[in-house]
This record gives sequence, C-alpha cells and structure tokens, in this order.
Amino acid sequence: MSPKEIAAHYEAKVFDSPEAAAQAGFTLTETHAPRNVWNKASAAQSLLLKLREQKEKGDVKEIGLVIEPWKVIGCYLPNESTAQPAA
Amino acid sequence: MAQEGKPSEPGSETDAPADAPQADARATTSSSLSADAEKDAQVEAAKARVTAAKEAAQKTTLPAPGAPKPPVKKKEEGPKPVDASNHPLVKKLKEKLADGVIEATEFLGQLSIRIRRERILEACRALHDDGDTPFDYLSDLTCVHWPDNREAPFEVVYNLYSIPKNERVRLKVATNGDGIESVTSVWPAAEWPEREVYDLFGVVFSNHPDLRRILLPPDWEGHPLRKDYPLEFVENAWTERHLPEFTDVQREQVEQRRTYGLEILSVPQEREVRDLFRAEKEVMPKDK
Repeated sequence: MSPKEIAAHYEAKVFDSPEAAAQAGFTLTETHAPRNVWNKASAAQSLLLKLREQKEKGDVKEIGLVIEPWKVIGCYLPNESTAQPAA
Repeated sequence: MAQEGKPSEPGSETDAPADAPQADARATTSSSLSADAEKDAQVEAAKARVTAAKEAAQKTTLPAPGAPKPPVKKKEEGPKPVDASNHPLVKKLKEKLADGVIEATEFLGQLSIRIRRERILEACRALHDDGDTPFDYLSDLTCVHWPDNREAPFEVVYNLYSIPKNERVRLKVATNGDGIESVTSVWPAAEWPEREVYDLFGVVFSNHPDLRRILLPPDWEGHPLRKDYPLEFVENAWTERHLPEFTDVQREQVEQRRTYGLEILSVPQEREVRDLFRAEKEVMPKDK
C-alpha cells in the first residue's frame, strides 16, 4: 500500500507540508526520510501504528501524516481534555 | 462546402439546408438592405450547416477517432483457497486433537492447517510420528505480523515436509507474542529458526534450550520485522552506544550520500564510513 492508502486505512489525516499540519492544529512527532517507496510505506505504517496506540489510549484526538516527496512525518491533534492544564 | 463567413455559391448542392437563408440574403442585397442583414443571413446559413453536420454525425455508427475506448472486459478472478476439512491428513489430525484444529484450507494444492496455540506441540508431534506420512523435516519456521489483529497479531508458520512420502503441509498458529511452545523437542532443527523469529518479531518460545537473539546484537532494542519498525536505517540507542560519534558535517555528508543513493548502509558499512571520516579521507567515490 502507498502511504496515502495506509493513512486512509488508519483513518489519519493527510497533509502536504508540516506547515499545513501545524495550521490545522496538529502537533508533529517523528520524521523519517526514506530513500525509496518501500521504505516510505514502512515509515508511514510505523508512525501510524505508534499514533494509533496513543489514540486508543485517549491521549490524542486525531492522528495525521505529513507526506512529502522525501519525508514522512507523524502528527496528532491533542486531546482537549488532556491538554488542559490541571486546575 | 462553402467557407464560413462567405455566402455559398448559388446552386451549391452541399449547402442544401442553407438555400433558403441564402436566397433571403441575396434578396436583401438586391433590395439594398443594410450590411447587418447580410451578416444575419450568413450566421443563419452557418447555423444551418452546423445542424446538418450534427445530424450526419449522429447517423454514422462508427465511433469518433478521439472517443474513449469501450471498457476492457475484466479478467476472471484467480484461484481462491478452498476448505480442506475432508483432506485425510486433516481428518487424522482432528481425530487426535479434536478442537485443536481451527480450520484447514487448500490453495493451489498447498494444504494449510490453523492450529490452536496451546495444541501446537501435540500437532507437530502427531504429524512427525504419523505412520503413513511422517513429517520428518521442518522445512522452515517463520512468522507474519498482522498489526490489525489486536488479540493475536503474530502468526507463526511451520512448513513441514515428509521426505518418504514427498508431501508438504503448512501449520499456522496465531499468538500475541507472549508465548508459544517450542518444537525443538520434535525437530531439533527448529532451534535457530525459533531464535530468528524471536529476534526479528519478539515472539517468545517457551521451553527453548537457548532463546536469545541470533542476528542482531544482544543489547539491540526492538524487533525489526514488526510492522511498527521502520525499514530505513535510523540512529538509535545501540548505534549511539557502539558506534563512534558523527559530527554534524559528517552526518550531513552521509545524508547527502543516502539521498543520491550512493550509500546503502548496513552496520559494518556504517563503521567503515565512520572510519573514513575519522581518518579524514575522501569518502565520495570518483566517477569511473
């Protein structure tokens, strides 16, 4: 599967650039710079599997993936309830 | 056909639908009407020609040269696995294990049997000691990671071969990685493949005589054939501990070499590159 298909499989939002993700309120995580399409798909899947775990724990609200020609970056939308500072 | 914007020649056969407007135009010219009326007549004539051409195109059955091709007929789907519950070997296993056999399928003549995790040793022992078809050779033992299967994401696969009967069977066992019985007591050759599966997938085999990593260093963190492990080389705790430090410039040079496909790094190659950097030698290969 291509990174876009993998993102669709894990219900992750796809962004073209880190700026677009940041503008949508997403926080960037790891960056991978794969050298070929197989590594790119693998990088996308490894990032999304880690983010999926966080989503299932309730730490993040939404997960996403920034797909650039030579870079894949994971990102997430913080959960508002956990992001709020303790009173 | 008359050129667009010019009135047709009188008596032209090809402009038959435009005859009436042309006649009108001639009549108006002769009666010294204005130039606007002439233009109107020409427009009417052109419209009539377009209508005639459209009608002619609709009558023809041949597709236009630029038209899209009709859809290609779909090929018939390939073979699919079929139920193999009635296979004699499966029947025999079911007699011995009862609920130990989950399902059996056959695909292109290859028999696959899914076994419960708790009964795998019994199943292997039964197949190994079978009187008719003794599966005396463990051809391969491997694993597949299915991250979407949350309860049992790992599938350990045993490829068995019966040398006297020239028959093969594949056993599959789903596990969550916590533990599966080692089959080294049945086939001693399972020792290294089980170590490999442990090393690369993190599946633990209980009662294994010497379960430790076989390919990666003992202090390596993670299991590289899991789907959540990226394929590319990454700096991690092990490389930081065991390999000499990179300066920023060296790191950038390696990044550049990787970008241009000049560097396909494995750990020993990485060491060599670092040695070259330390000796301040030229690391970029010359063009031949």
